[in-house]
Amino acid sequence: MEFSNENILSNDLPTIENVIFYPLEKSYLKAQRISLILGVLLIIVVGFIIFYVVKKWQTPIIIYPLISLLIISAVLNWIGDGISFRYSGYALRSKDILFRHGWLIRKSRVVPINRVQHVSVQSGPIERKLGLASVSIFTAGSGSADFTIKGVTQEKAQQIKDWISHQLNGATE
Amino acid sequence: MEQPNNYSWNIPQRQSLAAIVIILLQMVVRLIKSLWPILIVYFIRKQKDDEGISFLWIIFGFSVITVLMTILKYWFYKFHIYNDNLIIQSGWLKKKTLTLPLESIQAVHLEQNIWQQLLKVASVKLDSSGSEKVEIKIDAISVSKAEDLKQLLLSRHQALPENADVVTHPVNRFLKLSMRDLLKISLSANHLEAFFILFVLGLNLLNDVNKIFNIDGWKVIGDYAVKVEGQTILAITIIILLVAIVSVLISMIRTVIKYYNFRLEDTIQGWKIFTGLITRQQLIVPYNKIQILSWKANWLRRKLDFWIIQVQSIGYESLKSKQHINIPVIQMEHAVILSQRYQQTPLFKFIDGSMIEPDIWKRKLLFITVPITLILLLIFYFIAGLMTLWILLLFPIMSWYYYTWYLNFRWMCNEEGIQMYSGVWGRKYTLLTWKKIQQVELKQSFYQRSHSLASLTFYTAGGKVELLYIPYNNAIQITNHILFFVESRNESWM
Repeated sequence: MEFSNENILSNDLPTIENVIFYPLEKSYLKAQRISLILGVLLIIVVGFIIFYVVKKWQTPIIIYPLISLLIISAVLNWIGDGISFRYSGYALRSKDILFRHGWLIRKSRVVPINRVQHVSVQSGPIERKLGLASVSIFTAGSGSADFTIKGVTQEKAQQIKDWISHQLNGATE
Repeated sequence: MEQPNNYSWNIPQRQSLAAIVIILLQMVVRLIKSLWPILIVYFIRKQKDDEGISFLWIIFGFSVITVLMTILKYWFYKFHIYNDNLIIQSGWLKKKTLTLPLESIQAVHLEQNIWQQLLKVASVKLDSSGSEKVEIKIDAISVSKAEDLKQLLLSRHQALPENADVVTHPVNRFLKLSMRDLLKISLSANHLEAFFILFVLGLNLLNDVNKIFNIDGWKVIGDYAVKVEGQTILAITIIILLVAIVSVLISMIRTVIKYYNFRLEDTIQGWKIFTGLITRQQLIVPYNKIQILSWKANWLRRKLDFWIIQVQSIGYESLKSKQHINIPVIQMEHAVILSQRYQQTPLFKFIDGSMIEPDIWKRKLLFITVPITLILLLIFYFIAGLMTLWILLLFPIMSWYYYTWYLNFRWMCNEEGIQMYSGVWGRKYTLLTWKKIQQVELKQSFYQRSHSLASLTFYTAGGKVELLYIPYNNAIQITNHILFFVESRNESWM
């Protein structure tokens, strides 16, 4: 093997800063809001049933605070989804994959390619309707996917999965 | 591949006949645990009528089915070694064949519970690379066969691990616990856990007695309290003392049973651990499977210089607590020596370590203690009135607790990884090597963003390690260093 000793520029060292993140699809925000509305409706229906059955709970002192809590949570979630969406994004680099998300608490997660065990693509009913999918990346020791890129088109999700699989094969050769 | 002299492992074979007995016994024990109220009701009832006879027939029918299923399961379970693979065939309606390459077997554990000791058999459990839990278990083969199989399976891993050039230590390579050490361990164990288990068992028992015999245990206790009016406090004190003594005794017995005859051999491939009184275990912990290593001691154990090393290997989080590998060591020095199999960099001195930011203890107080105190005040005010103000003592107590935790937390990064030191009453050392890291997460709350702080979480195959409230720049530097380390070296994490 030929010996070489080239300068390594600081740009060549991996860094978690100054990464260009691709934004999520706009329809993902729509999907989140639809899920939120459905969730609130479900809570209202269940609440009605419970209060209808348990008559002694039908007092203003219980109902009004719960309704207020529901409204406040729903509003905060609505706002939070919007802010979080603006911050969220993913980045694919030759050696690693990054994903960031969050509103009040912002998280950036990075997984090196050589730690990826396998990748899968999935899509819930609302996501499918809007042409969206999620890419789940599995590393060792995790029983369930703990690194998921959400809010990408189905075509893009497949491309990401294929790209990662190609990188994995290259890493093992 | 050479075959050992004693047994021909290339011929499919069944477990020992004792496996049938053991499986049946395990089923009986499980049944009794679930159905003991019904059984007691049946056997003490005065009238043995048709219902009782039907019940007997049901039990008989169920027993026959269980015995048949056990025999079938035993008959159709075979294993052998072929072409460097361990092949296990099982099932009679739905046949399964499991093929496990011998190279992928990382560890072979032997275990003997009380029944297996009586029947002179052992179970063999296998860990393979990348698995989250023990994949294969052969329930009962003779002890000599089990040893032979273990040697054969492990003979594929004679190659030295990467850290084989670790300096051999001048101390002996064995750790052994004497009876005196065992007594120290058992006396300093966590008796509170046994106390709460006993308390919950007592409550369940009162409930079950009420259902079976229609006796309200609480009413009986209340009536008794009325009879001994004036001596209630004495009675309660005696009861609490009795429960405490029983808890301590139970806790001590459990510890002795767990660590009886404990022995650790420090080999080139890994640690060999022998332990247990009723259930005897032989465990192997290959060094390359260790993901996170820590050792800790409560207040009393610190005074006795007694520590428990906790080994977090692949799949640690999915295991039950009784499956975790804990190594008792009688001196801090032993813990440090053993830890060098995982990370060679010497342990940092407390005063040289970096502190986390003080904001953390204040925010824990604000967001945990204050809401809990307010909620408790609100709830108990309607019950106890102004006496509830005693709850406000939570505030100074928790302030002290969080502040002490913050003062005692130290961390330091080195070429190999990170070391942490923490604790309030007790102490805990945690080591994490960079190459074990699978993912890194950098987290910033709104407050942290405005104060240039961040928290890091390092995920491994055996759990996670958190470093909270450090300067943002430090968090970035550490993350960048990990990425460079992991991505440029392409070293195996296992």
